[in-house]
Amino acid sequence: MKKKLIHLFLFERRKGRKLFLVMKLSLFLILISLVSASASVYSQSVRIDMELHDASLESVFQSIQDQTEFDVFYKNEHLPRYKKVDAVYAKATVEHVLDDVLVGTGLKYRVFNKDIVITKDNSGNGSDQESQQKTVRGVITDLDGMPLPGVTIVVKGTTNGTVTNLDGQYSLPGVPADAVLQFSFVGMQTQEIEVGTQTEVNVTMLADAINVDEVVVVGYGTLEKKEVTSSITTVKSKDLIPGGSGNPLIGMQGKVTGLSIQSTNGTSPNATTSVQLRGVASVLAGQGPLIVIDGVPGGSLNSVSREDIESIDVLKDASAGAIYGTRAAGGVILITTKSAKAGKIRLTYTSEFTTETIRRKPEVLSAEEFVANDLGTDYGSSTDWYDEVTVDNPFSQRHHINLSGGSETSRIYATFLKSDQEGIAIGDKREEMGGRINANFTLIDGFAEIIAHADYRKTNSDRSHNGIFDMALKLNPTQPAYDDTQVHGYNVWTGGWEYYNPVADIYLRTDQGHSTNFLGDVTLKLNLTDNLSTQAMIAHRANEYRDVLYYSAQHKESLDNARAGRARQAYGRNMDKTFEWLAKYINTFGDHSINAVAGYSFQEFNADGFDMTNYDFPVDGIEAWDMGKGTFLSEGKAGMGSWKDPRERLIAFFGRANYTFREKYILSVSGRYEGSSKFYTDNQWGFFPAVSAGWRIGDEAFMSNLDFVSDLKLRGGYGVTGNQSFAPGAATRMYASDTWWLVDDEWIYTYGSAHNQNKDLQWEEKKEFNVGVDFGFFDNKLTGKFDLYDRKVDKMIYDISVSVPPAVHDKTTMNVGSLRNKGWEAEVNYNAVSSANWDYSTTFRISHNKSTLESLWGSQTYWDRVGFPAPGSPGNAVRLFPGQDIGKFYVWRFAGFTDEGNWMLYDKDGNAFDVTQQTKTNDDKAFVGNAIPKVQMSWNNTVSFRNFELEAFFTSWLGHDIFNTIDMYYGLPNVEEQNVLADAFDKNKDVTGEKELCDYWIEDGDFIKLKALTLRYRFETRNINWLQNANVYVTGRDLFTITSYSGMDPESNINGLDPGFEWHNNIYPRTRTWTLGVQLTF
Amino acid sequence: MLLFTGVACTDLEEEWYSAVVPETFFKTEQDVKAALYRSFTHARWYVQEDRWQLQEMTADQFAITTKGPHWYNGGENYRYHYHQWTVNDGWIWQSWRGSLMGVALALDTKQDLENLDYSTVGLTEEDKASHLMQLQTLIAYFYLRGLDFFGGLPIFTSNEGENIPRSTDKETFEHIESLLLEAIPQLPKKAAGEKEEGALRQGAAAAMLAQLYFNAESYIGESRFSDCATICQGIINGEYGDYDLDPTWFGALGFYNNESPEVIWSAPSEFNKLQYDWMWNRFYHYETYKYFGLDGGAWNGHHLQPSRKPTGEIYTEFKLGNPYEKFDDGDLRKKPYVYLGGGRYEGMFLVGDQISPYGTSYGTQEYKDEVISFVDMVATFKKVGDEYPDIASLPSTMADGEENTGIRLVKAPMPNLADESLRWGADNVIIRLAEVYYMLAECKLRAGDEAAAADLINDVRVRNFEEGNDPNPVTAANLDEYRMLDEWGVEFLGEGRRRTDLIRWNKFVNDDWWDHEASNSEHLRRFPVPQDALSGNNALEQNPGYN
Repeated sequence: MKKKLIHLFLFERRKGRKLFLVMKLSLFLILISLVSASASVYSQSVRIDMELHDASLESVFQSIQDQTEFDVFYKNEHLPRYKKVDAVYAKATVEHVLDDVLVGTGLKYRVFNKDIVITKDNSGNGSDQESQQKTVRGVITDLDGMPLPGVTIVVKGTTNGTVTNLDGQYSLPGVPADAVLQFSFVGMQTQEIEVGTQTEVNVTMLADAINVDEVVVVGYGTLEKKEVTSSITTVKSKDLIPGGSGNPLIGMQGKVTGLSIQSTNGTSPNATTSVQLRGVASVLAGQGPLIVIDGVPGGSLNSVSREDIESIDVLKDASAGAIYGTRAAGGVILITTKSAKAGKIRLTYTSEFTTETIRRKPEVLSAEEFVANDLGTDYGSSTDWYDEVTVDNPFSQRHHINLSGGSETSRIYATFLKSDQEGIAIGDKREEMGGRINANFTLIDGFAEIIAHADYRKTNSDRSHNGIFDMALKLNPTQPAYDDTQVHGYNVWTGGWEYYNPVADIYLRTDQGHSTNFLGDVTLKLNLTDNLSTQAMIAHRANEYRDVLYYSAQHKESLDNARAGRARQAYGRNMDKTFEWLAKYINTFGDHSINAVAGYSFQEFNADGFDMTNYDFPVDGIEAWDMGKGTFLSEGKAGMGSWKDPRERLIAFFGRANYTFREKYILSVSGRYEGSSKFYTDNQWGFFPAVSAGWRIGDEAFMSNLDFVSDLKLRGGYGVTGNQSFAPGAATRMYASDTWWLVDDEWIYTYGSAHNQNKDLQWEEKKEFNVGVDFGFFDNKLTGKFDLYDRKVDKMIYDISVSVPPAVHDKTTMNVGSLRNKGWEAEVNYNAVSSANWDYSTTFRISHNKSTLESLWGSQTYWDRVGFPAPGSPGNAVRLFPGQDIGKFYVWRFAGFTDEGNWMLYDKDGNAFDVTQQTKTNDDKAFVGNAIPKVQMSWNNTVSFRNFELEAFFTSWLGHDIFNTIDMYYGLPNVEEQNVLADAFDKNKDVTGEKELCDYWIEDGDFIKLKALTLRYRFETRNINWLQNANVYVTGRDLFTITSYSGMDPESNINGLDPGFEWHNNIYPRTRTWTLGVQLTF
Repeated sequence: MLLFTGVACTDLEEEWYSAVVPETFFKTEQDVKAALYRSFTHARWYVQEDRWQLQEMTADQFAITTKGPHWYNGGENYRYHYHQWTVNDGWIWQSWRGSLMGVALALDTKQDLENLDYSTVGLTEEDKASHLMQLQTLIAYFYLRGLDFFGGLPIFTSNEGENIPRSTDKETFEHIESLLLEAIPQLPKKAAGEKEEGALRQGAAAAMLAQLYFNAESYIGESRFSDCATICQGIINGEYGDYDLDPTWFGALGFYNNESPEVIWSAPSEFNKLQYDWMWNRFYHYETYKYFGLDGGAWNGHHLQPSRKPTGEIYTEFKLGNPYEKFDDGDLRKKPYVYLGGGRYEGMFLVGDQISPYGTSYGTQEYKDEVISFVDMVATFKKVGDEYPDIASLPSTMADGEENTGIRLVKAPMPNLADESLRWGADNVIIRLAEVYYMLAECKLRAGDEAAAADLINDVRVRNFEEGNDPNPVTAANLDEYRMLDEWGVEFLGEGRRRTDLIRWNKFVNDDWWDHEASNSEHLRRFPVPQDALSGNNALEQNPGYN
């Protein structure tokens, strides 16, 4: 749970030289304005000595502070610049001293408890102005229209002020006509508004672009941003790009340096995401970061929608992630969902409507060109197959309704979500329905708290597949897609497995996925003392899925096999349970403060399922819903199976302590001792330590001359994280069933080795150094950070090809070697303009990563990967070789074409040869190109003018290469009865040889892309009682790309060990998407 | 909550559900057999598919021509036909992997059975020895086939240890020899009347040893034909079990071939069990199921290489090849396949118009809606008058197939739907006595005893003709290396051995056939170590000529 501590810069005080003292409660201000003359027992009893000559007022205040427990607050600009005093006192009261030195300065003082506040004395301004004073009222809300309690409102230049109540309302008497009201709130931009004749001033507070007092969520707790000593990036919900499928990760693309988020399948509503932090680390299933939702580790993003997210904190370096131990090697993403604020019940309704258009598609020959080039039979039609397999203007909508509110002791946040999405591929749809309830209860005067979250999500998908785009590329364009003489109207042809009508394929089958996701957790927290709390959490995650597949009796597959239909139903589920116990201790002793946590974690994972397949049904219309009626069941040819995975457990003990001295020197240590049932007995437990430190050098005395520096922190850390993402069982020798065998006239099932056992399997370990600097200049108008990291991934876990024997199977899950990632990341934010009508802020991010393979296992000297698919056997295009960077291609080098159109390649000595005259060998291959960008950049710009806001988000990658397999497989003219790219009869028209796996197909991938453009308009709602907020927005994504790359998308896959290939047979269309959104708060 | 933590605080025990650990597996005799035959199910997969392709698609009897838009497959089929395969070609990798995985599986089970006290499952020490020797024989078989494809292999005697380099050809040869010599006396002998259902007996192990000696010249450059002859004679004499030639040509291949006295080793097959069905998709036309009166489509890929030019003339330019016309007229097998009901059938080919009592196959491509008629020619007849002026100008190459191109082999018989329980009833024969006769015949031929050789071959041939009237028997006069190869080719057409026979007679890289010109590159007698294998074990050394 993230808890917002309310802080306020109140006044400056001098302690040492220049230190902002942050007061703990904004209420303080009101109190001092209400208590006009407070008597302080302490001030009367304490006595001071002083001997200052020709001294500034500051030094007098300093002297008071040094001798007493008083803190003195004042605003620098209020002090007369050249005023010098002689202050010589012995055993004087503080009042006495102040009364003397403030004479003639126009300042007065008030004493409140142990604070002394120096303010301007406006009492002598005359009674005529007094008579014009009035009371100003209003409501303060945030961008979403939610009322903001606790906002401070002060008449500028005075101490006259108040704060808003729980409904965001305020009422401030005694405001002069020419007054300027200042509205301030932690994490928000302070606004100044001239009152004039108004008696009602309503304000919408805007969040600060960056604020050093932000609270950052870290492993098992929160820290103030200034206390953070490792690399953590916080993304607020408002920073997520709207539109699209609502997947929060896609909305975060490019917003976190070093975090590569890529869709697995373009804009398909059924796509998932692949995530990689700071280059390739754990390459097996666990390459993505650990996702922790409201403290429950191992969550799925299916359990949270964008609108419900309060913040996303990305723990990038190992010193931050180590407390999550075995699963943090890929980084940790902490998602905090919103919780209700006390107050009136608010209803927020968000609606988004999305459509998309194709941005780029492979240009193949038209029917006329196909015939003209004599590529095959002319069937007389003219079919644009790509057009046939895509939907014109697919329409998607999302609706999100949220209710939130309650009292201080019981607050409820409830959400209902419904979405209907349609992809650009025919037959690609997704329907989603879900809800979330977040509840907070406080019992026994705050001694006990109960915090509960429950999220339920149900999705129904109609699945398409990318084979249709491969067909759209290569099908003869003179073939018709439709045929009126066939009962269903599609042109279905039989015979051959290489070509089919993709339109008929999709519409003559049903491929549905149904799934439900539940994530629920409840925490009981006991605040034992002001400083010590303990809490226990139980969480349950259940994911169930159901696949229903039916191929019609009219489908090509049925006709080819002379059977009436095929049906399959499958069911599976994953059940995780989590128990965690924590104790937290937070305290401050003088200059020392401590924030510590210790705990225990238990997680268990179970999965099981079954499936069945039957064929040849009496009627077509019932599809897969009467499974038993297919004739294959009675003939013994139907399929049936069930499975249950081994039980998996993760158990851990962990702790973290942050220590801060004088708010300048920060030290953090953490450790996690964790065991996993997936390893062999001797290797189950591991320890993951981390240490990091920070120095807020900007607050040091010697920096005081640099006035432009508002904040400057140096930090560095080291940590170890692990990875254990592989299927359970790898460390155990297992027998599994194979198939029938005849023994003594009876058929029995044979049993043998299920997989290669690896007793020696150990944690993958990532050891990472990270140093960084955080800065804020010019009153934090310009802020940013820079990080440098160097990490080594040891004992990388992977399923690799092994020698058989000694292994039984050709793949073993092994610790395969070590990788090193080095890189840097920088981010700069600038709030360039902030005026009454105009605002402009901009953020620029840039990062660089290089991953190098350092070693492989045992005596292995290389490891070949990426076998190119049929047709043909072109070979492997990647060789992992110690010392080489990840992202190199290992292919032959193109040397030209012979006059006959044969390929020429270079041999290992650099001599060109004709491949028909000399056999190419693997030794002739070379490491070429680089799939990993030298730099990845993004640039965000937000401009607002009155009620309009425009956000433009650009991304750019430079210095990477892409292997264009679309060109390779469809760019040559040497085919028959198959369509090809226009290139085949243009730049490749004279090529006669079969494609060669060489750098001819590798292209420069540099690009700049307008990733998102959002225009928003906020309606004036202050005069409408029932409406708190209303805004509309239009977002366009991927609007334009500037690149020389000839394939589909230069934003290629850069995750994993084999980055940089754009595959010909698996590419979802690249689109521009347009979203219209409406948001209303009642 | 406290209870919850108390129970499971640090318990990391793994719990298993749908698979078992070997320690708890062996409870009954049946469990022992389930484990014993795991590597046999691998062998059953191994003898078909890619190993078959490597033996046949690189030789002179079969081809997968490109048929219009179908089967070009990136030039893969050309590469095998023209002997231009690469270290990345898939069949080669699967054959390497399959050979050594077979060894590993058998070693794995062998180790478990060695450690098992057979008395706890009610079996004897003799049973144990016999089981272990079956596994040892199987290991020898995988090494034997691997040696044939690749030469020397890494020799493992257990699954302990590291990646090891390849042993020499000779060491591998001797390893196989010693495994078999040890196994033979400990294996059971087949008694008369016993069915063959896949277990390994003395006869099979002896035949493997004969195969090893038979090809010793190709494998290690040493002639061991006399050793081969001794063993073959021993098998024929019944020293290794009771076997006999089947009186009919189809007995060893038919629905009930598990009862044939000729079969020495086979992989069992039965409808819906372990179907010997992989050829179906590749050999038959999209609509051949109609001709058979069955269901299930096919892919229309493989067929016999043509015996005739597009004009109809029989090829005389080369001595190999012409597989269909190598069958004498009057050979009972050289007839269209027809199922006669009751498990009886005639003929071994799909040839001519595809009209049967059960149905008619129509074209779906170039011959759309015309009756399919398989021809013993490869040419694009439908392009006459368009791209080509007349039939005489038609080329006949791997690129010139059509949907009716080439004669199709029906080695495993097909019933019609009414007798569907017989479907896939024929077991996949791996070794049969006829092979032993032919090996012995070839040994005699090489030893200069042509008459004895001819007699042995004629003993087999006689069943192929009506009342034994062989129009063209083998004689001492007409038996030479090409006649010997023709006899191998006719009797064992499509049984996955052709490449080995051509290599033994030095024809594989030195002779021409149909669309194939001799490369004269000796290194092509062996396949390269596939790149995937090198990648998995860098200690392996590549075969000469492939670097």
